[in-house]
Amino acid sequence: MDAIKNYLDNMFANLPGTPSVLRAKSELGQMMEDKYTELIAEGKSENEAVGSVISEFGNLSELAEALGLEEEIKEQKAEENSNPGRILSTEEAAGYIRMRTKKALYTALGIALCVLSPICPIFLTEVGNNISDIFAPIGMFAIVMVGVGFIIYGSSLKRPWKYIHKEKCTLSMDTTKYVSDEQERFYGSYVAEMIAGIICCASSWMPAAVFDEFTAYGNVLGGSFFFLMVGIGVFLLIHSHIRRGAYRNLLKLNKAGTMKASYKAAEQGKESETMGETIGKEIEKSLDKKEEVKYISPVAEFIMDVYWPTVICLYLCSSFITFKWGLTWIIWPAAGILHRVFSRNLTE
Amino acid sequence: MVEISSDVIRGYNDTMILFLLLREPSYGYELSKQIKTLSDGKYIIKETTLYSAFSRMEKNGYIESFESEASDTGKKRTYYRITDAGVRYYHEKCEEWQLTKEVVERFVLGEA
Repeated sequence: MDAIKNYLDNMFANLPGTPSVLRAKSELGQMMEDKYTELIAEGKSENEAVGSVISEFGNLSELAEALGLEEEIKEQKAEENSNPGRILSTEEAAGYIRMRTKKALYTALGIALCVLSPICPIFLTEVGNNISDIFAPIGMFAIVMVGVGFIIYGSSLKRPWKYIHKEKCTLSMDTTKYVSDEQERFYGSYVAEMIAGIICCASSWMPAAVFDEFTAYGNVLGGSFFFLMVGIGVFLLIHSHIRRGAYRNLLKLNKAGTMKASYKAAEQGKESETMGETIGKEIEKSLDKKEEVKYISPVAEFIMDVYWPTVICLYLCSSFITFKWGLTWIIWPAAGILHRVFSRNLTE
Repeated sequence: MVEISSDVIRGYNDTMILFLLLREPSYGYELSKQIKTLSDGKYIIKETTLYSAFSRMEKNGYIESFESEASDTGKKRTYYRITDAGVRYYHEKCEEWQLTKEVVERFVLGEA
């Protein structure tokens, strides 16, 4: 019975999910199921039954008129003939996901190292002799270099997979199912990482504030913990986001509006969401929004592009110059408010 | 073995379906099975053919669909019933076939 269901799924995979298409699919499925059940009851083997059901199914172009899809089916046939494209196998999809998982680790690690690098000078300057003063910038630089190395290595991993976008690859229905299922499985850890990352970043100033009050080495410990928290937070956010990208990139290969592209919605149509899923979707929505933002002018876009790096720079410079970690964190909430004002006024 | 010409039979799928629906409302697989039995297995209608006939005739108002549960298994199925317009159309098709058959037959040699 699964073979028949798959056959039908594949048949309809590239058609739009209109009500008439869904009705045709369900009724044809019903007929096939009836026939299959009866053949089995007559004592036919599974293979024989599936074979005769499929061979007596007919073909899609006959349905074109009934479905009001003459154009689409003609188009689909023409496209298949002129440019068959490449259909990614399930193994390839799995390989791509593995690559993204690896890339996520290296990239996130690289960026986290860059974020963590100021910890080196913070400690060394506290030692306060000549040698440590020399090694403070060198150590920081070395850590940044290692981090950059990781980032470059991470991005080099995707090179063998460039063909996915160049060769008009699409997913078969089976692969779509595989990727969707994998994505579903990955979702929990994605949401957990996202939430943990956001909490780390949002509360990163807290140890600094506490240490500053209560210990003699407040500057050193506070600063270090701040970078540590931000580093961990950034690692988690980037790691989960890049991994998530694997599934989204693959599923995006399916033409929007077809039954394949809306596979999850059609197949499961489940209403209830766990709390984690709801939060995950909200996070995604906010990330998507960012990608779609349109700025009023190129200058505005430039300002917004360099906004957060500038804030980081400002924060680090002012902190290192004044060494008032307990005070300089105010830059973050201030920058957050300013960012809102900017984005409201500079976007369309 | 000679097989039935799908080009010729295409115009008469509607007739066969309407004939069966005149007896009682029915659903997809049941109809295809009856067509197979009544033709002694010489004509097996394809699912896509059957569905496109349903869809076309429903649009033209010859048949109506309704959801109903099967008496034996209790499974929900789409049933079709013939309308008054469908009955008239059926009789037209029968006359058309009589004429077609009469004309074509004059050009066909008997058993060789």
